Formats: sequence, C-alpha cells, structure tokens
Amino acid sequence: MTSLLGRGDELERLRRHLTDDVAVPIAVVTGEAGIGKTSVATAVADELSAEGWRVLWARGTSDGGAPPFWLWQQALGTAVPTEDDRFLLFEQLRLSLTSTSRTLLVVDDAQWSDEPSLRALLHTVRHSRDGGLAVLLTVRTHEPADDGWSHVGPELAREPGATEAALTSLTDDDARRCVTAASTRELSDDVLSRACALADGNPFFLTELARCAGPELPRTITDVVLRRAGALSPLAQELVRAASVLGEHVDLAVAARLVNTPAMDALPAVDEALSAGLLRRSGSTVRFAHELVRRALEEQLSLQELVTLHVRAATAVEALYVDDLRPHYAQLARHWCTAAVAGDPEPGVRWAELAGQLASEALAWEESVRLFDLALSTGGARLSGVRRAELLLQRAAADVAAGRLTTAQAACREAVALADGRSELVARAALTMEAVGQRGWDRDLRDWCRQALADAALDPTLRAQVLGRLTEASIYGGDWAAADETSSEALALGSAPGASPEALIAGLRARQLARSGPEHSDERRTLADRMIALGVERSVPGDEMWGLLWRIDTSWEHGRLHEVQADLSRLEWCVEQVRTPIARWHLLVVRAALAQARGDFAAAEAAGREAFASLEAIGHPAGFGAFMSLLSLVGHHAGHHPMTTNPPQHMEHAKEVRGELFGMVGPAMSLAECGRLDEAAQLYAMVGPPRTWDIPPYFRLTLLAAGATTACLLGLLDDVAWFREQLEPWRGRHLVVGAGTGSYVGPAELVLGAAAAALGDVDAALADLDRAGRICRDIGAPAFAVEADCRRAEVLVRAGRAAAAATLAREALPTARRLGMAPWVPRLERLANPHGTLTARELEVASLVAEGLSNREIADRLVLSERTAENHVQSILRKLGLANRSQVAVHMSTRSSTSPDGTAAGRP
Amino acid sequence: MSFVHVTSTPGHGLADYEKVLTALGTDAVAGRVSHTVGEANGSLCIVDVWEDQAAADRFAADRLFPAFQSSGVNPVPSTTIIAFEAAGRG
Repeated sequence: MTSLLGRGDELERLRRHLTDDVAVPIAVVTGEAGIGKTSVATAVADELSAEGWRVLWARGTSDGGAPPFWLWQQALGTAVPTEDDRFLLFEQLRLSLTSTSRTLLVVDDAQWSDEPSLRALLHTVRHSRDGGLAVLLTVRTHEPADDGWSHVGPELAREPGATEAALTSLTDDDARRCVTAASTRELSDDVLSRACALADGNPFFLTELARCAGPELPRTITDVVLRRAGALSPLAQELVRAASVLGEHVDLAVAARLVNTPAMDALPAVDEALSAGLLRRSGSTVRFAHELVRRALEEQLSLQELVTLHVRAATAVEALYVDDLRPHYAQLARHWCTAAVAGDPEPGVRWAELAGQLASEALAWEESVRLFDLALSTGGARLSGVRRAELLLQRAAADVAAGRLTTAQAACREAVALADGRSELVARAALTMEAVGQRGWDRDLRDWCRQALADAALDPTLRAQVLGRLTEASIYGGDWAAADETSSEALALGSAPGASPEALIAGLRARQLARSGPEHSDERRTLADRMIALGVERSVPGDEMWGLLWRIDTSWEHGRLHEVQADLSRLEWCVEQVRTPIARWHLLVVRAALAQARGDFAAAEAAGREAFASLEAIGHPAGFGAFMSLLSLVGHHAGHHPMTTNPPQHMEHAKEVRGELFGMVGPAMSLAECGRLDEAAQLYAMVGPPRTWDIPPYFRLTLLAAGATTACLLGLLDDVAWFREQLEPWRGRHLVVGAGTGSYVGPAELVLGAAAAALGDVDAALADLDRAGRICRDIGAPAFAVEADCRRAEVLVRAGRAAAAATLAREALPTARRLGMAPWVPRLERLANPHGTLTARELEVASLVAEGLSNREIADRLVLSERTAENHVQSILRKLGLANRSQVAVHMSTRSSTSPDGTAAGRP
Repeated sequence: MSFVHVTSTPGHGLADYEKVLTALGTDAVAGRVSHTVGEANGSLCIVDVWEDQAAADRFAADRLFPAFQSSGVNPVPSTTIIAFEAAGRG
C-alpha cells in the first residue's frame, strides 16, 4: 500500500497503544488533508480485525447535513435508541459497544463529528473500565474544526488512555518510493523530482501525481482532479461536478436528478467515476474518494450553479423521500439554507427548525442549537420579530438542556424584546429556564411572569405553569408571601373543573415548594397524595415518584419511619420505570437517610456515596450538599469523616444559594464535635448572629438544630437560649434535612434537652431527654436513643445522681457498641464507671472530701501541700462532672453501694 | 482567459428579467465582458461572458442574489447552467 510508505513507526506505535492494558486506549491520528490518516487507521484496523477484534467505523461529515448522532448510527449500523434521558441514552450507546471480542471504534475525520456524538463517545470512554474497547480517531489539522471537536476533542485528548500520533510529510526518499510505486510506468528522475517538489511529502498528492505523471505535471491537487474528471464522458463529468454539492456521501438517486437523468441511465457514469478513482464504494453506498476531490470539483461551480444545484438537490430529496423525510431534515436544511442566499429564506428556516426540533427530541441538544442558529442566520433580517422570537426560544431550550445557560438567557431576553406584546411568547421565555439565584436573571423572570399573567386570555395551563415559575423565582428572592399567593392561584387553576393534568401538576409543584416549611407538613401530605393519585391515574411513574418523595418527607417530619419504609418499595418501582440518574439519586438518598436513622451507618454511607456518585457522573451539583449533611450526621454518631470538617475547600460544590448557610453551620458542628473548637467558632461566626440568619423554611428546623448543637459545644449560652426558644414550638416533631429528606436529625426533644442541659435547666433537660429516648426507641432510631440516654446520664451526674446515670449509661452501652458509635462509647463508659477515670490518689482525696475534710486537713492527712490537695479536688470535680464538694460526698456514698464490677448492688 | 456563463430557466421570461434588472439598478457590472438575453423554447436564456469566474461569482453574491431576493424571483430547480473557461475568441 503506497500510502503507508514511511509510516512503519507510527503503525507500530498505534498498534501497541491500542492493545495496551489501559481502561480505554484512545489514539488520535492528526495531520493535514491527504497526509495518510485514513490509510494508517485502516491499516491498524485491518491488523486488529485479523487478530479477532470487532472493528466499527464512523466518519464525520463536513456538510452538517447528517441526522442526530450520525457517528453512532454509522458505527452501530442502526438508528440510535430512543430515550427520555441523555445519561440513559449514552449508557445504551456505551453498552451497545460491549462485545465478547475486543472492539475498535474508528472515527475518521472526527473534526467534523457532531458534538452530541462526541459527547456520547466521551461518556463511553469515561464509563468503560473493562478493557474491551479501544478508540482510534483521525483529525485533520491546518483548518478550523467544527464546534463539536473544538469543545469535546480537548477533553478526549486529556483522558488517561489518550495519545496523539501526528503524521508529517514523507521524507524525500519515501516520497520518491511512493511515486514510483503508484506509477504504472517508469518515471524519469526529473519527473520524480518535480513530483516530489510539488507534493511536499503529501502521500495523497504524490499518488495522484504518479497516476497522471507525464511531461506536464498538474501543479495542485485541484489540477489533478480536474484533469482526471476531464477525461470522463460528458454525463460522468456533469454528474461528479453536480454531486459535489451533496457532500461526501453521494446519494445516487439524488445525484441522477441533479443531472436530469433517470437513475438507471446514470449508473454507467457512476461506474466511470469509480474507475477513475474520483468516487469509491463504501459498503452499499458511494462516496467521494477523498474530501479533497469533492472540494476540488465543488470549487469549479459558479455561484449561480451552486445555488441552483442546492435547490435541485433539496427538491429531489423532498420528492424521493416524501414518505419519511425525518432522516433528511438536516440535509434539506443545509440545501435550502445555502440556496437562501439567492431567494426566499423560508424553506431553509423551516427545514432547519424541523431539524432542530428533531435533534432536540433525539437529545442531541448541541446539534439542535446549531440548527436553530442556522435557521436564525438564514432568516436574518428577513424574519419577522415574532418568528425570530419563536426560533430563539426553541434554541434557548436546547441551550438550557446542553447546559449553556448564559446563551439561553440572552436568547430569552432577545425573544421577549421581539415578542411584540404576545404574552404566550413571554410566558414561554419565562418557562425556558428556572431561577438560578442571579439577581438580574431572577428579576427578569419575575417581570416576564407578571407580564404574561397580565394577559387575561393566557392559556390556563400556561398560566398555571407561569404561576409556578413565579413561585420559584419568588422563593429564590426570599419573598415567601408572594410565593404563597402565586402557588395558591396556580393550584386553584390546576384544580378547576376541566383543567389539564399539566396545569394541576404545575399547581401541586408550586404549592409544595411554597409550603416547604414544617408548619405546612399536613398540607404537603395532601398535595403528595394528590400527586401520587394523578401519577397512578395517568400511569406516569415520574409524577407518582414526586408524590411519593413529598409524602416521605412528611413521614419523616412525624418520625414515621415505618411509613417511609412502606413508601420506599413503591418508590423503588417508580424509579425503575423512570430510570434517570436524578430519580435514582432520590431513591438512594431516601435509603441512606433511613439507614442512618436506624443506625446502620455503613449502609447509610454506602448508599449516600452511591447517590453522590450518580449525580456527579452527570455533572449535577445538587448531590454534594445532601451527601455532606448525611456524612455529618453519620459522623455525629459514628465519628466524623474528614470531608465534613473541611468545608471551605468544598464550597465550590455547594453552589446552591439555598445551601450556603448550611454549608457553614454543618461543618462548624462537625468541627466542634471533633473538639476543634477554635475552627468551629470561626466558621460559626462567619454566618453572623443566629437571629439574623435568613433560613429557608425547608432548612429551618435542621439548621436550628445544628446551630444549637454547635452553640452548646462552644458555650455560647445566649445563642443556645435563642435556639431553644425557636425549637420549643416543635415538640413532637422530628428534624430532617432538606426537602427530599437527605438525613435525619432526631426528635425536637433531643435538641431541646441538650440545650436545656447546657443552660443548666436540669429538670427540663431530664424530661426532654427522657422523652427523646423513648420516642427514638419507639420509632426504631436506636442511635438517637443512645444519644438521648447518654445526654440524660450526663445531666444526672451533674444533678448528683451518679448511680442513676451509671445505670442509664450501662443500659445504653451495648447498643452503642453494636452500632459502632465511636465517640459515644467512651462517653458512656465514663458515665457507667465514673471512678475508673479517677487516679488512686484522687480516689483517696475524694473519700476524705466525703468525710467532710477541708483542703488543709486533707493536705495534712496525706502529707501534701494545700495547693496540691486543691488541684486534686478540682480534677475530681471535673472528671465526675460535679459542681461542689457536697456532690462529691453524695457521689462517694453511692459508690460504696455499688459492687466492685460497677453494677448496681442488689440489682437482679 | 474569459469565463462563459449560460443560464436557461424554463417558465421564466423577459418580464422576470426586467424585474431583476430593476432591482439590480444601473451601476456598471464590474468584470462583465458581454451580456446577452433572450427567450427560447419557453425559457429565459442569458449568456454572459466574464473576465474570469471570480468576477461572475462576485457579481452573483454582491448584486444578483440580493436582486433576486428583493424582486421575488427565486432560483428554480429546472434552471440549467453551462459554465466554462473559453478556449479562445473568434
């Protein structure tokens, strides 16, 4: 093969890399047009195929006329599957590459691949770890790449398994060998030298020169191609020239119509072009032998001819494929949009719009953006304002789906400016993208919503949806009163006789958001039941799933763990149907919280970690906050994970405006519980005095609990008193993190008891902690029961009731040990056996204190200085948690009534 | 070497030509050597000779296509175009 001359080293290196033992080896072969990239890729692919590999081919096309996910359609030989979620679609594509034999995926001219196809490839590379796949890409350099490669190519090249092989010009010796081998006759040294000088080491050019080598050498590749075409029959010449507007792949039926010839009559002309090496067969289709050939022919067309041929091609496609034009939408858009330069833009705009819609349906959002942009640029100033607004809104929706929020916002703003008072367009702009916590954007959203709602004739479903959007935007702006009003109106609209299910869903969602505070738990329960019923009635598992999640929230708020468990199995079914990463995340979060509440810390952490990973895989930021709060609460009982005590480094994950306060107070609590009080105090101080905290309703109780726990540990008694006052009305309720419960904090009495203890309100503390312990045992939250008992035992000690404390602690210890409550076990052990912590000398001193001796008398008795005796007494008080000497006396008298092994004397 | 451009558009006639001509205005056409128009067999036939292809393309892009747009005369698929580099002049 002449085109492989001088490429031995590259071939060997590529072969070695692709068969290397890394997860997914990627080889990117780069170089200018005609340098031999495809030949090298073909040689490597043939070699691996001979070794039993499965080889799949795909090619990027330079014309932008291919259907969505064209790269994958070619590689798999079938249409890509239909999915509602892009992660699932990508997973399906990835799995479709799995095979019993190793697979090599070759993407030729990857610089022209569409972005969604490349993103699916990136996903495949990142999620395939079994070593069964290798990827070989060829990329043309020296000319600008399409957006897809510009965006995704660098990411692929940074993958751990990626390497680049840059093909450069052949050496003079290799170039001479190349020409000699490709020529059918003997060439003079002079011709050889001139050919090598002209081709500058480009194998394609060298080979072409060799084929037509004579006294007059063509000076450029275009000259070569034209000379070859010039030797064809008139029909064949006309056919290849005309077909050059079709792109790399030549649809023979369309090509025949371009030259006004019946397809059968055109076949001999096609054969001629094949024999001349201008076209080549590719499976059952025909394509140009090289993009350079097609380009050379296309460049010869006059501009009028080019436009006319595009019109002719478009009408031919419309006529030939009238039964199913969908696969040809992008192709039609390309032809009509090119022709629009000389005529009516509307056909181009219409086909580009249809192609954009089709791409969005196929989840090829970046391609959809490109096609809507094509429609907009083709229409230009000839589009009416309203038509332009319609296209802009469709593009904005694709932008949002592709994560390009800034361009989406700009498109929405332009659309609203062009809407010319049409409320439906303004409403659609408002519904395109949600509030994001940016003041300017959220203000615009609110304005647009109000503008749309001012139109009494606005469609009721759209009105309910806009009211829902306004509710969200108001909540982001902290205007809960407005959210209450608009959500109420949305629900009323959705509940009206004859209202659409979509309107009801919008109303239920809005209301659920607006009533996220704990005081509205009962109302949310009703909303949840309605949502579940609607989902069941319409057989929409996604709607039912939301209803179940809302209902589970309310079950948590009342500590009904058994109800959470009961709804969990139905939720599992719904999530199985919905299958999206977000749905799975919700399920895992509920599982994790339930395990955490039940004291199964390992299961909780495992589920939480899986949940976090499932969202991180799709680049969704919401998982981080929930995972940190779970880890923090697991750590509260089982010992803290280092991640929960390093907040500032991880704050970039917690971009959610709503999570900022929690992002500081949560870690402050973890740090304080780890004994790192200075750092905790610093973080706690950063969020300002608790009275000034602007807490979203759905975080209110848990944030108050985290604040109270932190303030107790930091000894900030004023704050503790305030937290206690705030939590007081919530006796009988349970504290849970977030809407869509991520973790369980325990009954309100547990925090109230701890706060009372810190404030020295012993009776209240004992009562609250006793009640908390009983509640936790009743609902099956054993770790929280242990915590309540431990805290109560500590209060008992301070009340001088060490024996009762020891009893309580001993009862709690087995559970604490079984659950692995690392920080609580030693705490309980100290309480269960308080003397175990006193030294022999301290025990001696304590006995003398109990006898009523003063420090001076103790010093004399034990031959110590009075100061040393005083130090011992202080140490005893501290270790036993006692306030004065008389409590020591009480304590020592109780000690004498307990047996040496620490169990209460006389207890059965 | 000059560039010859022959278009034949079935269904179009001199009335369409006049519409485009009006839209084109009276500015001189750069690079055009000759321009001949007529009707034959129900088609509008135009034979232009240009200094080179680039001049023809420049005129099409800058003036003719905008004139098509403003006059409402759109390219039709049945138009046939023959274009070639002239071998010489008689």
